[in-house]
Amino acid sequence: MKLPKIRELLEAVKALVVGPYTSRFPRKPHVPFKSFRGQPQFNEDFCVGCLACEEVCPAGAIGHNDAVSGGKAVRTIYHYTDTCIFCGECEAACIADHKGIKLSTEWDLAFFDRNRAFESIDRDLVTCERCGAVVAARRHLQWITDRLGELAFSSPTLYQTKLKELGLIDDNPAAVHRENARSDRLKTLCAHCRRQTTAGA
Amino acid sequence: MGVESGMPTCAEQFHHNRLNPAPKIEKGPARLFIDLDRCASGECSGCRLKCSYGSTEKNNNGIFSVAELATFVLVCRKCEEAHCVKACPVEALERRDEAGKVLVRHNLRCVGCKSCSHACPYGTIFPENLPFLVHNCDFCLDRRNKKNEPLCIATCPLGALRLVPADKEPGENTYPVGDNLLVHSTHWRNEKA
Repeated sequence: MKLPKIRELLEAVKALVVGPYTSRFPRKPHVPFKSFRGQPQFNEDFCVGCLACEEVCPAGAIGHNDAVSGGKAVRTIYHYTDTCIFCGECEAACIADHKGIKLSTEWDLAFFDRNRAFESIDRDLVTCERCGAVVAARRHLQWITDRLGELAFSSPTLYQTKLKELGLIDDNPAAVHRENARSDRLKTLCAHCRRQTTAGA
Repeated sequence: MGVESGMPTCAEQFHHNRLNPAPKIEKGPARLFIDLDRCASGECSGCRLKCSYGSTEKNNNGIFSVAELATFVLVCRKCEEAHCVKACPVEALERRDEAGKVLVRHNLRCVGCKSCSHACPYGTIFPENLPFLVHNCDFCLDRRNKKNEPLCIATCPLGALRLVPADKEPGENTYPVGDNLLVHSTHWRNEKA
């Protein structure tokens, strides 16, 4: 090259004035870009507990456990941070406006104990008043009710969940009696019991 | 039915509007018979049958695609203003106006959130019949000469499946769906309860 390296020379002069491009990382904490694809995190305010993220996760990094004990049912959704590949499918599939689980800008992820490489979120569950099976997460049913509007009043499972949230009705004291009759239709039911009671089978 | 007309899976026919809406009872390969009433009776606590398709996934075999289609055709009440369609967050459910207003789940859009199942006021859609990864049943048309095939028929603990010759008249509450499927399901309109 005949000419001197003018571009490099300019860069060198500029660096004296503006300082280097790189950050002073070990001394100052690094702040990633806004669009940085870091580790996904649950959002307590938005997650409805529908498990769409678990269904779509290609790495199988999301799992759940439904615990029913003493009339209270809780779903714990786990996100295994060591298995996660940060693909963002969970965020893309999240039905709560893509906010229930979201890629964060978290990047400092080193850890020592692999058994603790998970984060979890708890969601209340609604159980079937006829067979006791898990119907869905309470927040999920409320989300569907809000989405359906007045149509939700055709399904006792939906409107009762909503009315309980609003504090307008209490638990159904007659729910423990399995009657196989018309009164069963007004209970909070899973899809199987709903079909059996409506079809009269 | 043959290779030249595409895949023989019911979902494939359905999605491309090739599902025969008025199938005739005549010659052809034996139909797969499924007793939907037994599947929904409550005797069954979850589908545990084995599928010749060789899926390694637990609780996800080809019969779910059959059960889903048969349910949409025969059990669904075809609401004018469908709860399930309105509840779907990703517009994966579609009510086809032609061919008997049958519901279609576009499984490339579906994220498997089961909102449609919880929205249905009749319990038509069972949540376990809506897997995100769909294994479409091809009725084992090319495996039928082998021993113990199709596996689902031999392994269903309730005996809800069997092969029925195509030219046999279906019995009461039994309807052909497409060219390869025969479904026994009591219609909700016929219930005296």
